[in-house]
Amino acid sequence: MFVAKIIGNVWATRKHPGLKSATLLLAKPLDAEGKPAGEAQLVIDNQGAGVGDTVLIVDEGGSARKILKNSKAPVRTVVAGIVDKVHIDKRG
Amino acid sequence: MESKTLLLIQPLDWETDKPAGDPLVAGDTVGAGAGETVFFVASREAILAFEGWEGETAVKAAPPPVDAAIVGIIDGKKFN
Repeated sequence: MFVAKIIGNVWATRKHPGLKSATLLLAKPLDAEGKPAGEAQLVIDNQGAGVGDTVLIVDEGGSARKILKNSKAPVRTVVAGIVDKVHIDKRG
Repeated sequence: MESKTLLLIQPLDWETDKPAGDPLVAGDTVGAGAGETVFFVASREAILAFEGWEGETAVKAAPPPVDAAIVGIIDGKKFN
């Protein structure tokens, strides 16, 4: 799993039936300091995340399908939750 | 892979729309055509896109041995 920031929305009318009720968002991974790191990627959302939210993303098919409650959905990268706060202990 | 459409796709960077990485061949599940911007799943999930979804009738056709599947056609995107 990794933490990312939602930076945009994607619309697709014609999509696979397994993605019917899902929202498509663009997420940019964040590093430990909360700065953008890496390339933006498409994520599937059923948690109600929106642009500007910091989210926790699962990048594995089996867990992704569990989150969407659809054992046949052809998905891999899914929003697992919306992050309220990340605390890093500077002593570590 | 009989009767399955295979398309040659060029991955793009989401933010710049510039080509990113090498072109690849993907099975099509949504009726995409040349020039359209699509999104796809790779590896194990590509087979799932075909398994039990034949025209939404859940016909148990043997899923094709593909490692990438196109699962949507993009109408638009917006950054904030």
